[in-house]
Amino acid sequence: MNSKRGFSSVVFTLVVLFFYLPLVILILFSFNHSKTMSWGGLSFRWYEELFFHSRTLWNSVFNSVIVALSSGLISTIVGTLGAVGISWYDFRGKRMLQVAGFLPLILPEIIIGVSLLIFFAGIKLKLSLFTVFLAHTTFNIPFVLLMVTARLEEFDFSIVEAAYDLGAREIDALLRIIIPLAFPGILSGFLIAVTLSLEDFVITFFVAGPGASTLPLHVYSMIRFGVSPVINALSVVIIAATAVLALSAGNVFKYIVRK
Amino acid sequence: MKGSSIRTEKISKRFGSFEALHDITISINKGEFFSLLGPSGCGKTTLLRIIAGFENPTAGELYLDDREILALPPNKRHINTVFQNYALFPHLSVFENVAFPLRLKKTGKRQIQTTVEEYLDLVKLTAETNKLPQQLSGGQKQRVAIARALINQPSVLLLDEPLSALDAKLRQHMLIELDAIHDKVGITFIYVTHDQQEAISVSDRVAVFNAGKIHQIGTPVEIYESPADGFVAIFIGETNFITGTVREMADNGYALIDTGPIGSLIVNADKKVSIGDTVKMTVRPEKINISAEDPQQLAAHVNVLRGSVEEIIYTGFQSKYFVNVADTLFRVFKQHINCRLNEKSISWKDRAFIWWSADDGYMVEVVHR
Repeated sequence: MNSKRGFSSVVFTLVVLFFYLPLVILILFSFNHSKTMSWGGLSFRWYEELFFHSRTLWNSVFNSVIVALSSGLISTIVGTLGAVGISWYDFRGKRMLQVAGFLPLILPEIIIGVSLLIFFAGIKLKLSLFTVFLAHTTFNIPFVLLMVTARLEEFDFSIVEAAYDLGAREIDALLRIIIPLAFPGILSGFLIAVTLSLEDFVITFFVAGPGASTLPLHVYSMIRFGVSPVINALSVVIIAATAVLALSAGNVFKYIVRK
Repeated sequence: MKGSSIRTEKISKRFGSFEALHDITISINKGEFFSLLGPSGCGKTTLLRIIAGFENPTAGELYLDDREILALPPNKRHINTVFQNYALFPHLSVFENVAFPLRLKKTGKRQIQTTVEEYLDLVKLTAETNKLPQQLSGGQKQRVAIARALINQPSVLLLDEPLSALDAKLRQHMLIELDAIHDKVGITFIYVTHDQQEAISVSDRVAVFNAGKIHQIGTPVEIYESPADGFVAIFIGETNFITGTVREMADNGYALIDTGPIGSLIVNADKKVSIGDTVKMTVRPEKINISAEDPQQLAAHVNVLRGSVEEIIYTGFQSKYFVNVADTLFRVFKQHINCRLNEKSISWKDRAFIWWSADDGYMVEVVHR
């Protein structure tokens, strides 16, 4: 019993180290005065550079946030309506649409990226931040679809029939019954969409126009000229922001559940 | 009467090659408590869904007070439904569930408050106003569903197996309450069930369904006491069937049938028969008397048979005897009216006499010669 517990705590510690050691090192070196991996003393030098001398970097952060929020919002709306349609309506080609809807989940990103690039070139759409938004919306919709469908499947369609029976029009049923019921699924779909959009590199790489660089693209281009400690500082800021977001999201969820 | 009449005219419904309903013509009166009774898959729920507007028939017409309503969507029919699984909105409180139809109509706040309270009072649920559906018991959920369906003051209320999810005791209780609510609101109730006991205990009339067809429409007494055919007889309670050939017609409305080894039986000639026809007759187990001693001095037109008791099932308020008469098993139910029996008691493997009045036997099927 005791040795078993000892074994599992060793495994636990190793896993935690495996996950977080790189982050700890990263945080540590963001405060390193030296530009190399040798320790040159404690300093806020890279934070200073990050906040006061990195306009293009902040520009890309701004781009990323814009794309993430807008594509998250649009894909949540489209994905939610799609999930309602697929779960609770009957129509021709429903099965096919279902498969087509989930296909992007398993397609390699590079294929989606290349196909979008060819498509945009074909319809003569100039690559810009707008094409990045379109691309992100495209790959986000299936995730929202999946989250909302999973939520809707917990409910019996007869509650929608009951709403109609009690005098509801289609729009009443959607706004008063379906969306409130699916809300936890819709919210998690939105959060996943925003996260995926923020971190996407491969697809964005293909469809971003000049000056439409997102944060991952910018970081990649910085790394090509050697790892700048500014990136370490930026990472720490992002880790802190994510942690705050995750904690507050947890509270939001608790609030919703309690409500 | 506040309710409306409902009339279906030759309604048929096909799902692919499966015919769920075939030429259903029913006329339901204003304010009536009408049951659609049948085994599962007999089409009764499909008919209910057609009346509610969730399903369109393949052919036929549907009238609400002489107005054709098939083209109307469910929310325009003045018909409301109590669903089998209640279909309560899980994210809304009891109050908001019941208030839902009023909120859609943009009724004033104070009006909603008083109306909802009135209907929660009707179903005796005023104490649970702020609970969520998941915090309620099955019976309470049922009451919410009923209040919610009634608050629009529909002219017809449809109930789709509303008690099937409740346990037996509660079912009895809710049934009585449903009947009371029906008396209070006075509208037409159409009640779908597969439970014959439920149907015959509260309904004004019952339609017995099987395989998409109506077998009989009548009052509970008519359906139980003079079933139109063998299906109705066996579906509504237990019964005995005996097949024989008509040997003689008596002019006072009885026929004598020859049943082979059992012997000759006298039976009500309630169907058109002539000598030589093959008939299937039925007699309810509780209509048959049983005794260990030869019953003497019986009135005229009584069938007396002799057999041996194969099985006795004691159920408290009655005993069920299975009596073998010439290799035909008769079910005989005997009430325990008093337990100090002054007659010889019957036990397993005993010889016993069974007898019933010819008026209690009915013909359910006739094959003309």
